[in-house]
Amino acid sequence: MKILIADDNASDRLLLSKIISKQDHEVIAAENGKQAIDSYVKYAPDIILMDVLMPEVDGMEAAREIKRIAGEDFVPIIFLTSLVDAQSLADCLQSGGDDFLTKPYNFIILKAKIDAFVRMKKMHVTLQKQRDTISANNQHMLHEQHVAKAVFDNVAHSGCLDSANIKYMLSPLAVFNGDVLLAARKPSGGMHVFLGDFTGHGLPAAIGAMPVAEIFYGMTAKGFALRDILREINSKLKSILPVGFFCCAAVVDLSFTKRSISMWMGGVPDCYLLSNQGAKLKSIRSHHLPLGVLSSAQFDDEMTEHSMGIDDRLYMWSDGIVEARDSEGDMYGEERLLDVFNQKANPELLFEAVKNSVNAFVGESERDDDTTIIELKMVDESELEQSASVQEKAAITGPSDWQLDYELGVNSLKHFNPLPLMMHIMMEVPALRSMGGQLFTVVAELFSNAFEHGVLKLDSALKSTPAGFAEFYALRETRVKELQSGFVKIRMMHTSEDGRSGIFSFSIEDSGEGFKYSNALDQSQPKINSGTPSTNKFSGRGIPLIYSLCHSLEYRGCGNEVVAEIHWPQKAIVK
Amino acid sequence: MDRASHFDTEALTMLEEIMEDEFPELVQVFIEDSEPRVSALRQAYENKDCTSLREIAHSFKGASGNLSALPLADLCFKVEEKARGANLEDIQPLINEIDVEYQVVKSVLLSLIK
Repeated sequence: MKILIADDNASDRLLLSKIISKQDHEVIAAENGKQAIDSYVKYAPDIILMDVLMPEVDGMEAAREIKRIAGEDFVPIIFLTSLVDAQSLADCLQSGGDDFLTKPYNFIILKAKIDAFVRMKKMHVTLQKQRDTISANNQHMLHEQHVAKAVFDNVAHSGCLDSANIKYMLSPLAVFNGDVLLAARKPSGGMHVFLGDFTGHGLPAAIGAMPVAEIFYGMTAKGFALRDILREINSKLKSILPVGFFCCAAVVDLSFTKRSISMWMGGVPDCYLLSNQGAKLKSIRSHHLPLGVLSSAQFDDEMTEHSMGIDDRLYMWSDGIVEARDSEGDMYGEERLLDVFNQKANPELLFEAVKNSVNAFVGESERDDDTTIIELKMVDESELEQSASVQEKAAITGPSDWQLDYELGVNSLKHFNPLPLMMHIMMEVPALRSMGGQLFTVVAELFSNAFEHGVLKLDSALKSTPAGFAEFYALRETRVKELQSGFVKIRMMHTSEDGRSGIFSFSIEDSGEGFKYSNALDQSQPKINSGTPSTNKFSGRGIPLIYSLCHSLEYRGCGNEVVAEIHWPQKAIVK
Repeated sequence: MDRASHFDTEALTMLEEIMEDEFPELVQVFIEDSEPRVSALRQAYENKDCTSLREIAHSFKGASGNLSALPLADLCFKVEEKARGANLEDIQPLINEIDVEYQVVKSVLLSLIK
């Protein structure tokens, strides 16, 4: 430690310097108050021993000035004095001194006091450091939270929440909360809505929302059923959340065409279904444990069905609504909520009424839970198309207008199976995913026809007997080995008018000689489809099956080129 | 010389121990500082300058006290008190006593560092 000694007596300075250097401190000496102030500024000593009566500037004045300069830095000042009356000693402390030491010095007490102030000074320095660290950490944390909150809001409160049939209120809490509100249109029509309430608050509660949103949006866009999505979310949360953390949820699969909803509820307050222009109110109770509690084997994905007429409304909320407290600490409670519904207000205004009722009740008091509420109205799906967001959202559901030409040469044909790649490209189109099996059959069949009969020139008639079958494959192997020239050209094309329907066209051309297909093919198509495959020339090529799966199938050129078209959404296949 | 009647001998011994080889320097510094003080006291008395009297006596008291010359410090304290009260009565004899006592203290200290 650096210790400043201010005393006008040379012998006193010498004596103090000696004692203090013996305690292993560095000594700075000053002969009067003015020098003391200058030395303080210049050397920033840790402790000051100051004579009271000094020429130029006296000790008390110097002390006041030094304390002023020090600001919030702690500089203990110990007055050295031979004054003995109480008032003089009190004046020393009044001027900013921290202690005094009377002359003649008692060396033992002098040492002890210096030790004590060294400890105090160290403690103060530590405290200041910790304070600065805490302050810096806090700044850092606020910044991180700010950024993370922006990401979180994009993830947790997104999708098609702005659809015409949805009204919602999110907790106004500035930082993270554990509530999640997600809504997404299904590729096949209809809508998935997810209201979740994670246990706890803040970042730990919010972090679980990320995988939930990922799975919800990802799987919905890929056309998965809500049950499968719930299973996936449950199993994900079970594996990532610590014990005791889980997500209460109310989840809805809304079908506009069937005018009904399927619901899964776990650990949330009753939801209300308002029908008949607000005349009929039905409450729907949660029957499941929250998500993230049970293992996949124990998880129950059973959903309840409820029909909903046009303009019927479903209300869902997190328990933050029911448990919202006023300034007296009373809870809003389910009764107050039910009262709002029982007033039979215009259903169109009900959402606002609930919102206002909760807000009026809570008033200015601190919200201690997250308050999320959503109203979901049954409408004609066409009403939703008018909202601008739909087109925008359709873009993220996959590629819609594209074309791909892919030509395989000899080496590729010998060693490479292009089917997985082609399937992968097709599966990027959400609407095609549900037709994956059918598409695979078509593509696989047409590709093997092109390769085996076209490029390798194998005769399909061989496969009509078991012996021929074996011969066919033996021959195939030899011909693949010996293959010198040939190609298969694949073209895939997808178009979609409005994101609600589309056409997938798959054409394949090979280097073979083709075969004689009926010139009257177009006219004979219905006949072929009607079940007389054995009488036509295509039998060996598995064509009847493909006919049944495609909207149209057309051979071109010398029969070495074929185009299959598949339309979606699929109408019932015409027999 | 009866050291005990001019010093707190115990404190003086401790002082010697603490200062180690710097004790002679301390003695020299004390004497250099104190030498002009007696005449300065007389001058201030003649000028009836109570403020100077008080300040010089105060400093002298502090310095001699720390050298454990307590009787000298006591005499200085008396002058300081009288000057504080602007009472110049009996100051002259006190200054004389200080002069005598200082000479003894000085010779004792000098004897210690020989």
